[in-house]
Amino acid sequence: MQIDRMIPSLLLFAFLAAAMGLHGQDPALKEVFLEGKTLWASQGDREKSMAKFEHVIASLEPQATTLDDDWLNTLCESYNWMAVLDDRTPSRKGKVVKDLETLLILNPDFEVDKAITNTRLQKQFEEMRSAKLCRVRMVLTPDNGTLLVDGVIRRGGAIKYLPPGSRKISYAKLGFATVEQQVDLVLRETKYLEFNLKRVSSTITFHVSPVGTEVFLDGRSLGKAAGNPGPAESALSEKLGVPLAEISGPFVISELSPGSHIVEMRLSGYRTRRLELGAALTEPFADHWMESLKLEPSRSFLTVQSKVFGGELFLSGKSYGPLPIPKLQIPAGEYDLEVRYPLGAFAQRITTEEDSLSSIDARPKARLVFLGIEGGDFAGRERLEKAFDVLGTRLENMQMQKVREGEAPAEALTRLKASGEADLVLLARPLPGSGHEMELQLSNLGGAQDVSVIKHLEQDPLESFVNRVNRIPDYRVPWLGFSVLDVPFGQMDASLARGPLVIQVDEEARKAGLALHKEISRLNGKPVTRAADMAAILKEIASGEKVPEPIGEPTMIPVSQNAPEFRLGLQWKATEIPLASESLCYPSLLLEIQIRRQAAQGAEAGILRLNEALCFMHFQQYGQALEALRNTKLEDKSGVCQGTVEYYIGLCLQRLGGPCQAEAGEAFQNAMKYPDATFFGPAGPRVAPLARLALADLKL
Amino acid sequence: MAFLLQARAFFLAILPFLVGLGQENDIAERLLRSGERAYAAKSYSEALGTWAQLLEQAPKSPQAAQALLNMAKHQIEVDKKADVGLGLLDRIKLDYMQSAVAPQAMLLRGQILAARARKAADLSEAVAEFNRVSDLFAGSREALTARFHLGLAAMRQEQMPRALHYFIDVLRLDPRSKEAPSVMLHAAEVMDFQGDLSGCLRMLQELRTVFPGTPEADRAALRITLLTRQRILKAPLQSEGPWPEGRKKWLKTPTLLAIGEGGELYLYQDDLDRAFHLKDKELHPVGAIARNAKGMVVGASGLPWLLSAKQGLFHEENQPPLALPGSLSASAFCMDRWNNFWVADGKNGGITILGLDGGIRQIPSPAASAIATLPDGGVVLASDANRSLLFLDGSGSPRLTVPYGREMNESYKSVLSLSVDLVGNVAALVDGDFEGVILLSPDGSLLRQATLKSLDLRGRFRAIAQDHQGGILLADRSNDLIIRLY
Repeated sequence: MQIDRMIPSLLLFAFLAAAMGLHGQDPALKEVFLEGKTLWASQGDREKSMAKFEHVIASLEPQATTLDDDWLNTLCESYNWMAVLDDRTPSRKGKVVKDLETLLILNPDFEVDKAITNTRLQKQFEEMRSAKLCRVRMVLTPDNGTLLVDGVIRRGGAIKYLPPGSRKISYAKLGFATVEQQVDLVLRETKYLEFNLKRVSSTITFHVSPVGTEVFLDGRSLGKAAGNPGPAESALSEKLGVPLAEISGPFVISELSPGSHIVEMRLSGYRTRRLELGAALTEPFADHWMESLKLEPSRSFLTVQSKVFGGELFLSGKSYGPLPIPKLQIPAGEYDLEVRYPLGAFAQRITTEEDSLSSIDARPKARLVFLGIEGGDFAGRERLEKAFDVLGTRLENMQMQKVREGEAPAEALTRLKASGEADLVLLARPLPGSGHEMELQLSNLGGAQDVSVIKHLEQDPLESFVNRVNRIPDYRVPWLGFSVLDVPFGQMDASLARGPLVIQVDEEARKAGLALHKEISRLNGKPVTRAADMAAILKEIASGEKVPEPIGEPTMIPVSQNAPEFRLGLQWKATEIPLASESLCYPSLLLEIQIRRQAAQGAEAGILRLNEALCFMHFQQYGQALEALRNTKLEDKSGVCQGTVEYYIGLCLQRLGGPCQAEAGEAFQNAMKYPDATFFGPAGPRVAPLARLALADLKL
Repeated sequence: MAFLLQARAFFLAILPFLVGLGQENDIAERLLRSGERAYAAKSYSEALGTWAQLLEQAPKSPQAAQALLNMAKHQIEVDKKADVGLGLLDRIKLDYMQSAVAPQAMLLRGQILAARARKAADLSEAVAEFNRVSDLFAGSREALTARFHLGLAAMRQEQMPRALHYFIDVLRLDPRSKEAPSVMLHAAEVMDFQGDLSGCLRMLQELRTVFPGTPEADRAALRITLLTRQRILKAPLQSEGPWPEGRKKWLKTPTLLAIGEGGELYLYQDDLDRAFHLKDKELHPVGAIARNAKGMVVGASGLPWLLSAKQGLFHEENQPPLALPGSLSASAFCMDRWNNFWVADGKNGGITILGLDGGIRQIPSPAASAIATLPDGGVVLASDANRSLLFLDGSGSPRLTVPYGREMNESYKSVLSLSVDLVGNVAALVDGDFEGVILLSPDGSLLRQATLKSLDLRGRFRAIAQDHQGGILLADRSNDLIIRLY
């Protein structure tokens, strides 16, 4: 680093050090030093006096380089005394030279105390200094600057002695241009040096509370205010109304060029202070003291709620308790907001504004941890790693995390299982016997696993995996209470049916006036000629519809069968997810359903429970499927309804075998009590014939 | 190509050396791929030789099972040697049960066994194999396919509820699987057999919506046409007049009609003593010559069978007929799903069931004037003596009896001809107080009816058939033409 670049920071350090004082020594040492002097002067007790000085030396010498001027002087005086006393003790005379040499090292400019040091010793000391150091005469203008010799700060203003040789000496002061001289020093020659600094900018100095406030000049950070004022400045404490410990030492802005400037003080949790410095303050160049400043605590409000029960709020890692959290007062600023749920988590980086309310509606996402790629080095590995790096941005319902640096997959899995910090884990490994294929194992912590095979040399090797994980099939469909059929008649039949023919009618639709085996001519005011027209209109209506709450009137849709219109209520009917579709990733789907179920109520909760059970059935976990089904309550009497649930209860019990068979029979009996129950969706095949068959099989 | 052959020869030559290096799996993989490349180039003997070498050199490699399966498929599909293929598949079952191809091999084995079945009981071994695939490899695609085949087998065994159970299982597993269109079509058919017309139509509609443009969707459209026209809308029958395109006096005494699997018309002209196939609006003679044929059935081969009361069943030209028992006074016949002939005795009653293998058995029934096969595996016969239509199941047991004239204002005395369409609707050409055409649903209820008079038809109508568009064809022997009703 160039010395020129270092100088401003060194100056600041020197300034602060001078202003704050280098404290830290035990004041009792001074007493010991004085006792040493007294013991010799008044009692002539050399031994005890020497012991006192040796104690002072032992305490201070290890920190000699950091001692302030006062303590350094105490140390030097102690050596001066030791030289005098050693000189008077025959057995220690040999130590005198060492004492004097140490004095020269500690402070080359030190002048021995002529009142206690005899002429011989004085002369000896001067001769030693002349033999080792060169005499220098310095003029420093202005004073109170910082002198650096070969890059090392020298305290105490002008210096008198320096070691011989080529030295780089610079003198600097905040607000002045630094002057630097390269000098060659020769023993027994006196060197005359003059440092006359030119003013180049103004400075401004202030204290700020709290300590740690970051100061910006025209948007550029100048660092954080550190240290504390000395005890002499206790008035500051009264003025600002805070203890001295919460006030910084003086902070100097040294490079105030002519013109106006903006000073900002920022600290997390506090309101930012912004000061405009007028041009008058910068010209003519001068040093200014600004009134001490106190930052006021910042205040913003945050409301976090979630439809999902059991969330706990964390802001930048700190817990704020369970949700809902209404109007939490927090300092304005940036936070890493996280809501941890029993299943999944919600994470978002937020910025709250001063005195304003931010509202967050949290919705948990599954936490997926990528354990890594097994199999050492192989062609395309780097490319695949990059694809995994951005995988999190492609997974719509996941929050992707990585393992810790250097953590092996097995080790990470053990940790995650123990901590519960993940819901799903993903591991990539080469497919045995194949050089260009890999399998991706996505598992939940219960061990249910999905394996996808990818070709890692393809353009987008993770595309099919991403599509599978992102695909969440519908588990409910909009329904008007009837099914239609496109009749592929020829022209001769045009008089028989021109639109989609009604082939199934629910009780409610029938009561509303819908006739079986007649065509639909208009739906929601639009003409329809095919079932697809109806589906499109229904989709359009449903896209603007919210799934109705358990209590509430459904939207009424006008329907016509070549006659005056009547109205049918739009309902949401349950559908089933397939049990073994290759386009679905079941571990993630199961988790998504469970997460959604946490927030669901009424009929929707029941539908999700049923589909959760179907996911368990995919994994052949019939016990868990049974438990989910037993907790499923569907109010409908037709379509995928309680009759369907009863059938699946019977099926699970049948698969579990053994003593469950009798109970399975009861479940199939129950299923048969719902003659309009269907599989898959409201227009699916009826449950009753299959329940009847299952019952007959059980009786065999 | 020559270079490739040389390279392959070189590779085979250095094989022992490579084996010596202990690279068994690598060699096996290369042999397998080499064989597959040769097979793709239709160099079958070379491919089979390469795979055989693989089995010899690396019998414990994972590729050995795949090679065996490839060889089995070749025997079954190309060489048509199912027995040889079965032997290879058995070897996979025995030695490579843990291999990845084991479920495929077992599934294929089950399919061969099912295809070979000549009666319901023959399916038991195939069913057992499908069950094994389904149970041992649950969750695999082969398990899904096995359940589909279990459904098909149940259908053939006339266990319709069980068939539906398997079909719905397949749809529950994956409604977008490659088997799904066919499964949906079969499921719809079974639902109709079980009387669930609404469920059947919903399934057919779903099939057309989800898999448009597939052959199954086209079949679904045909079924929807028949089901809605005949069973739901039931518009009064109207005559379109001579068909096709108003052609008159173009035949020589047509007395029998039949519809082939693809919907094409076959007719027998008594004056010419043979059957003809109507193709591209032209008649083409087809099959054997048979004098005064009393019945005609068209099987899957497209070659008609003709019943000669005195001589037996004629099929291929210049081939002797399949003889009937001498005591039989054959009046009509039909062919069941196992390719057995059901021959009705018009004088003494009873039905004689003739197998193509020569097996004969008899079941009791009243004397019948007409008989036709139902799509659910049973038959329907008309007994003028009993004045009723009898619906029998596949074993010959009566399922339903419909008295002549039920639900009608005027009755008829005799049934001249019977026809069953794709979905089991029964059309009858009847004579008596009511002289005309009636259409019954598979449960025997009357769907449509019309007298010849109301249709303004005059002639001697002797045969009836139903086309795939829901039209009813009548053969008029006196005017030498065909009339289409709609």
